[in-house]
Amino acid sequence: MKIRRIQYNIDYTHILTFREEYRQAVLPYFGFENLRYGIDNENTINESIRLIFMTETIALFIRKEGITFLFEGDIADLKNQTGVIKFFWDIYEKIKNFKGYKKTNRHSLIVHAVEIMEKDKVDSILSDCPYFKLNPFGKLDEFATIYDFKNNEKSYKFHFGNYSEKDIKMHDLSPFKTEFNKELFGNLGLMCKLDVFEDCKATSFSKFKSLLSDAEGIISSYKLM
Amino acid sequence: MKKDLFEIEKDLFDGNSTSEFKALIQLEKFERDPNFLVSENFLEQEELLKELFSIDIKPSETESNENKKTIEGAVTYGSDTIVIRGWKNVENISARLIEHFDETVVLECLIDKEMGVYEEREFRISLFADYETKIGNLFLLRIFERQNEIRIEIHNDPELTLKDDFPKLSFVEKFKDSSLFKKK
Repeated sequence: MKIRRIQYNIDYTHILTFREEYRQAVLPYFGFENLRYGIDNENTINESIRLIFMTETIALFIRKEGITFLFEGDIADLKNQTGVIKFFWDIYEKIKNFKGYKKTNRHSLIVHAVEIMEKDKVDSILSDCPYFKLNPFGKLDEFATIYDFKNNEKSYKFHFGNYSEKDIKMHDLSPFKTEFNKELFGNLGLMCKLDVFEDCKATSFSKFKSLLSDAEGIISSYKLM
Repeated sequence: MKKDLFEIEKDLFDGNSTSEFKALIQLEKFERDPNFLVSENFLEQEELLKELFSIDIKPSETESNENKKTIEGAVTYGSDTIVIRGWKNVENISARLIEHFDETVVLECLIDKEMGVYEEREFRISLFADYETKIGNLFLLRIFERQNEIRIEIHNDPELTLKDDFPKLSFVEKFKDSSLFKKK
């Protein structure tokens, strides 16, 4: 299955001085072309900012309790520290130097993957779903299943089901409407969503890559019929 | 293209499309203000962008009606359209200026932060026009590619680069007269 969208999140203990400190950290990026931004809850303790790097098809969401990036495109672009992900890690490093920063608590990854298939093949799966031993309905309109798993500090949740165009909106599969995900429109197939959570006192690019590698392994090990 | 841009923005900031963000926040048991996704500032920006994009420009494609006699033109009775693909940002490199001579500037570029890998790369001094080329100054290199082309942007805002990413230079001053560096 082809990974279409990735969201990575780092949670830290609430930074009560966030509102006073974050602007200085993001200010230098305002010199970039194609950067768009939105400030939410301005002048409250929950003030946060979104930075949308349109060229890089990555969005950063920076708030007092965590930092998140959302990326649409080829995951190979995320495996290089100097790639589009650099700004995320640089801002995280700056946040760690805020006066109000205490500690990081955990990080998590959400990955959406879709395999496009011929309509006949999808119809055949829905007619006699090979992923269930028991099926009370016979021919299905839709199907979905969830697998939950915990291993030491990591928790996994794997959702799997059929894919149709309405999932684009439901799961926000193509927030940047990229060429990369163009084939999602007007096609059918199978889809999965994997959530991985890990408690940790510190995270890093290599830990992110480890989560990503886990996710790739799990998704590729799920054999499609 | 204008429509696409608005749709992308709408989705990126719209309440429905950021459900994952909300989900993550809910895990923290943190309740958002109902105005979370529609801050006044952003709405103002939307208005501004609408005005800016109401100008009818076509930056990404050009049309010519002069080539109607080409094979394609004969079939489509149309125009020859050249689509210029957008740039892709492929690298963002923090760098420190370590030397400059003649027409060359040498930068120490951080390639792998975790492994501590640095590379020295040379650039023409013209790329640094209007920038102070002082040893120790920090830069951010942004490299973009598209088919058969490459583009480099050099940014001189020191806040775009983390000082701690580069080993101190001051030890050279401190120890330059040390007996450790004297020939016997």
